[in-house]
Amino acid sequence: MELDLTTFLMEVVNFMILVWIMNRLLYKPVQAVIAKRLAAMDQMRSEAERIRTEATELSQTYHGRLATWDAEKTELRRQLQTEIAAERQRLTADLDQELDGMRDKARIAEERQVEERVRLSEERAIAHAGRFAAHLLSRIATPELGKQLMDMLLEDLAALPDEQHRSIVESLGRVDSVVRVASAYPLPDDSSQHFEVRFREVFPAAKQFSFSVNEALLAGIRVNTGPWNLSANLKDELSFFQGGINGD
Amino acid sequence: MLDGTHALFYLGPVGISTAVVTTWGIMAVFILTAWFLSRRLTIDPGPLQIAVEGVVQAIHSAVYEVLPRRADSVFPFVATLWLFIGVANLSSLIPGVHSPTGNISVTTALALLVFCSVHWFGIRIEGLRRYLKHYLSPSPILLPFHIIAEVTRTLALAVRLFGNMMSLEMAAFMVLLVAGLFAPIPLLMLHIVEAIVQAYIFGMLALMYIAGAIQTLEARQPLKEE
Repeated sequence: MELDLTTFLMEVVNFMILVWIMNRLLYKPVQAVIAKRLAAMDQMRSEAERIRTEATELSQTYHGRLATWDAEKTELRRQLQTEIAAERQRLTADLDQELDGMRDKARIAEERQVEERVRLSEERAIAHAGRFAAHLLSRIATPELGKQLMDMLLEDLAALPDEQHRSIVESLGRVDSVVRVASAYPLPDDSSQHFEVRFREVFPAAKQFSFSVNEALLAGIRVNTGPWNLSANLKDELSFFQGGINGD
Repeated sequence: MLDGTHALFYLGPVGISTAVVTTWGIMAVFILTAWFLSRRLTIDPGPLQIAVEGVVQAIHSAVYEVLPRRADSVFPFVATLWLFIGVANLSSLIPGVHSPTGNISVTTALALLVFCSVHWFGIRIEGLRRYLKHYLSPSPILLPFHIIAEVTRTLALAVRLFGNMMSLEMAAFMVLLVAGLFAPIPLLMLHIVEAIVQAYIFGMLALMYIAGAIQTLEARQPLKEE
């Protein structure tokens, strides 16, 4: 163990050289790389922070837009529901109105159908009644009934109003006027003479009489003079009866 | 000779000892390794770069813990001390190689460099007057004791490292002679631990001495406390 000055000095120099070289070749490059990596990490961290901030802002913006859209959607839905309700109300009113119209039309049509059915029923009933009455009267029609009807006609002619009386007289006053008398049964001579006498009592202007038989009259007579038809027979009465009912 | 003091060869009148040659070999290994690594440094490191960066960062952190504001100035010297002494201590594990730190001339040189660096960093950071003034504090009476402490701690540095490494080699050699081939293995494991511990002690003491020379409170405060 002795101190060698040469070794001592050379070790001093060697170590100083080693410090310089290591500093140049190892420490500085390694620290530079570490610093560079730290800088890169800082930059990445900054970038990440920036991206996170942007993401946060975007998220906030997105949520804000979502809230706005929700509000708009709610408002639009409310408006739509209001419009739908108004449209439904309008359509319901239109439909009700249309239904009322159709109901009125149906009611009117039904009433018309009922009226038509009633009318047809009445006509059918009248026809039945007419046929029934005709059938019944045809069975009870007799020459005596015809005479009674003739007397009733002569009484009615005597009670005619003045205006009708004058009109008949005017028609009988013509030169070619003939009083045509149709009866259901042949009138005996006395009956026809009786009729002529009684008729001239009421209408003295009657000049000429013509008697004929018309079995369709069932009973009674029909007097025709000019435009006048003076009936007192079952057929005309039934027709008048049917026409009177139909006229009602 | 175990301490490597004899001249292995001569460069003119200068005798080159085994310790110097071993130091050159270690320096060559360091320089080639540093050159090789510095050419392949990337942002995305491989396993080797990670290991190297880990070592460098660990040393830098240790220096930073003691001298936050002057870590970059002191770091190359302390780091080289740690790495060189550690590798030099472990070099004796290679058969036929003697550790340079088993040579008193080498450890003295390293201790002297620490002694000089203490004053260099002290004067550089504090200024000459202020640096010299700290020898008079807290009382001028303590000046001789300061001087004695400077010398003795430098001597202690040199002798501690030399004694430990020389004795380890000596013990291993003697056990090998007495007990055969496998008996020194536990001793060699102890050698590894001791080599690392001695390197750490030497470097840490150097760092403490340098930090002690820097009296400015501001230089010792962490940067984050600004």
